[in-house]
Amino acid sequence: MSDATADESTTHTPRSGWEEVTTQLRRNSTSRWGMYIVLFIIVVAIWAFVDGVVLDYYFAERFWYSPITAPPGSRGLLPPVGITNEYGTGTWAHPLGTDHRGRDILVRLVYGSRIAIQIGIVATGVGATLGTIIGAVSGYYGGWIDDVLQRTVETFYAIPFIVLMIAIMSAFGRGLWIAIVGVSVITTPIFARLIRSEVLSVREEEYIEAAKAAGVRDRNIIRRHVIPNSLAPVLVQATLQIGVNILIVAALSFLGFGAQPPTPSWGAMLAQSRTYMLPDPWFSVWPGLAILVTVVGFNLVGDGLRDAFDPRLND
Amino acid sequence: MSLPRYVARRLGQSVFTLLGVVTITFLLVNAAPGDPVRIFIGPSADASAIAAMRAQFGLDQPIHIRYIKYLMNVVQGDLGQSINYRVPVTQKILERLPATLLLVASSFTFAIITAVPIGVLSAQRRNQLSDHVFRIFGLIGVSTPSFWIGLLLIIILTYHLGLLPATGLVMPWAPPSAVDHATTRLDVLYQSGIHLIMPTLTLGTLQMAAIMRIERSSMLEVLNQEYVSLARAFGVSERTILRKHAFRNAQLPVLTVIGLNLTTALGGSVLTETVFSINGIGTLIITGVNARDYPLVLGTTLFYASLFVIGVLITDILYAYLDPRISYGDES
Amino acid sequence: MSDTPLLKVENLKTQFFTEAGTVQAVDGVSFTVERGEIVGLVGESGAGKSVAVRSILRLIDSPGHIVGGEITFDGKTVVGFEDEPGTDGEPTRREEMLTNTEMRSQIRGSEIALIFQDPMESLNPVFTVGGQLRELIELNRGLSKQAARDRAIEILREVGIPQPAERFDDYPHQFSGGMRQRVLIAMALGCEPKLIVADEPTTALDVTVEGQILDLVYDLQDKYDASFLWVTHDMGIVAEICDRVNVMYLGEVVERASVDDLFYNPQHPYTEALLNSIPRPDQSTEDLQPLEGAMPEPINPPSGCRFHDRCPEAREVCQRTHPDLRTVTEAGQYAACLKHDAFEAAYETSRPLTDESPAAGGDRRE
Repeated sequence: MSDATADESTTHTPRSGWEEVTTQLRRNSTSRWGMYIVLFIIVVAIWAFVDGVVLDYYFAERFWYSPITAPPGSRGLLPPVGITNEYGTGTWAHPLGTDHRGRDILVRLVYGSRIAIQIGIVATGVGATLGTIIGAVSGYYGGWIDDVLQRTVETFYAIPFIVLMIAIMSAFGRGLWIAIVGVSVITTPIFARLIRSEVLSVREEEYIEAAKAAGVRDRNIIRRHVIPNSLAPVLVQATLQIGVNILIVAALSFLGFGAQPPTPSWGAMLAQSRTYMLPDPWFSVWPGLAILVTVVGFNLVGDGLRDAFDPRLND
Repeated sequence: MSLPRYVARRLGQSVFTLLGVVTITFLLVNAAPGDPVRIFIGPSADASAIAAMRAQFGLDQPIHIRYIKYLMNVVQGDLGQSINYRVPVTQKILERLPATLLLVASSFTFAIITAVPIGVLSAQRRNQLSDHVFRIFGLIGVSTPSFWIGLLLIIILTYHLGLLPATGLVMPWAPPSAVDHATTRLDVLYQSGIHLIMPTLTLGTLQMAAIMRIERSSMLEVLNQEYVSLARAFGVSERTILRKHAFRNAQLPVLTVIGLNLTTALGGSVLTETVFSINGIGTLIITGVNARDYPLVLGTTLFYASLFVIGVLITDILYAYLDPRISYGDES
Repeated sequence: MSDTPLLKVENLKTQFFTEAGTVQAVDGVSFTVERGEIVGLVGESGAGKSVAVRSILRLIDSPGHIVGGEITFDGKTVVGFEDEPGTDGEPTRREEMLTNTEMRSQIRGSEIALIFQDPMESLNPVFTVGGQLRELIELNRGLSKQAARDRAIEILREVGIPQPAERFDDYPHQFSGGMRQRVLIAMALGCEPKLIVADEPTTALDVTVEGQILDLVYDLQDKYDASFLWVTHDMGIVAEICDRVNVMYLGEVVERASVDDLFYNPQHPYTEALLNSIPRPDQSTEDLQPLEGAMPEPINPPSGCRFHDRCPEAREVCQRTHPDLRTVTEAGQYAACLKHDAFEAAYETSRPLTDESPAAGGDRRE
């Protein structure tokens, strides 16, 4: 716009490198908080995976409580520490209270993080990768390939995510891996669409023309030029999409699709809490808060990334 | 390209999309393990009864024949018989449709009329206190599981404050005799209103937050455009710039987001209906899936997709109306 | 004609307060525009030309602020601060300085109009070309809607839009770049301002269209009796249309002269460098010398003379002493260079700087 501001934006060109982007991210205090949240949840989820899946809750049972079975003699629906209800008074032994079977809610929250993060990250990663390839091919070649792929993408878009997921899981089963495949399937069109529009604009750039004229093969042009240049929006969208997918997974578990009991998952905990929430709302509050905080974390990082890539809207 | 031709082309594309939807759901539903007839009749049924029922629903034929037959029927508006309810799927859907439409429409109305002005205000007061408050609200709104909002609303508004009913939905056009606590039309409208508040907030909050966020960033983007600087340089007041020069341009990405969010909203209606025990097509599809009622699942999915396609078509037409570059053929 | 200049800018300072530090985009710039005159403001990108002209309209967006100096236009005080800063350390506005509302209603568009640089981005894509033009004429000339429309069609014809009545309801995307630039000119002329500020209006156009636009402006200037402040980085355009020229470097005016004096007798090494970097009919192309290095960042300007690290004539004294703009020839040419006697800076006895580090700024930008 004006000389000085134009200068400013050129000296702070976002695409000049990752360093610039990460500096921007760290400088922005809200996205820094987002990164803390995300890192914390991921560390917890990795721990839950190692101890829960690999070691079969060895550490949890030895040093804490089992998230699967209630400790002997424990009471159900205890409130969090410092609060008294008709079932008793909260104790530090169960700081967030217990669920309907007397299991510690905190331990189930910790081990339930695995499902959210595992599906969120794996499925988003697979969907983003597939979508990027499909979108790049579609946008780059155009013609009938583009038409076919676009109609397919629109078809998947047209069926509400939850409905499609329900259909997929009722057809192939309700397990974790089916959920991962299903969420990948519904994530793919989002990225295909995004990348396609990016590619349509990149395709006209001169360096692509130059590469073509120099006889570089299409596949290599897509891989070396088209995809890297579209990476910034993919990264932003992927981060935001992890949040969306965590919400979808929770919704599915809530409806009874997804990881099956007794495996702890946040959505399933919310579903179980429905029966008991009126006398004991705490049971409903904690898993919802866990989902909220996790998704806020990913959204903050995603927003921060977008601002870092696009300094015009920087605050 | 003129507007009617544009609409005609989009309609043509929609037909392909719906054909794709039918194909995908048909394949999915048929890949499902478990025999719907056996589930319906029960494990003790004898072989001949099962065979008879299979023949009755055409399940004894190979899959491609069934697919073609199904397509032909769909074209004629026949979605088949529900195995579970023993009535035509179309009838069941039409019976449940008003509740879902009422819910989705009221949520979107709520979302749009609150989010658009707030988003504009937020952009206008960028980085002031009110902007920060709105942005935090928007962030939490898009990060909260909608059904959890529903549960919290029930805990607070129904259980603790006793203000609003927690289940069901009353259609505003229902006869007073069919509605509890109602003797006049006004009572029905009142009942309808208080039943609608919590489901609307549950389904609408996410939409509202999403629209608010895009409205704000879109508005900021437009306010940075050179044509806004030009208006300023020629003495146009900030108020006119905001209301006339920037507003219309800023609505283009908002419209796109609203169109795409329809799919989230329709999916969300399944959850909202479950939380508030509303008899809509969301709870219908859950019933269908649990009972392996193929025709019902197929029919409801197709209906959901049609609603989405119609919604997107409307936003596309609005878009073409707002953006002259579209309707005059500069499409892409 | 009165003897005071139409526009008088004195010691203007505009700064941008960014996270990385304070950018002194315009640092003590002075110049005037007389009635009926075309004055050039020349310099590389980043010299502060656009910020300077937008300061005249007080159109500087945050984080930028006009922090000092005085701008008077046709007897009105556009910018004017008290000598003493207020209790909070901020500059205090003088009583007679126009309020923001007065700027909008009395100056912008109606008295000073801006021709925008980018014809592709400066028209709103969702409104008709005619509608946008009509709105500005209606607002700034106080005409009725119908009268403004008639005037808009007339002015579109004048700037060379064929069939203006038919094209009135077309949208910007239906116009070519050159046509859109004509519309931007029509917007400025249609408001019948006393001063038109042209912010590199031909940069985005190809050379033939540029020529047509310059001819058009030249013709219309006579007819409308408007003064022009023409911002450009192109010495060719300066030679073609300007009466007087101010050369800017890194937020400062370093030379001021009539076009003839400037071209035939430049007094500042930067002006010389600029002239040597463009083809001229009186020189062969072998004489072309592109300007070495890039302009440093205005956030951290070099000490002494800001041009010294790129200057072929720089001496040690140039690193220490910052020259202001002074009269250096009998013809009244101004320059800010210590080599002139007017500065008494012991330039002759100072050691020449050998040129090892061409510039601190990194890549050459344009």
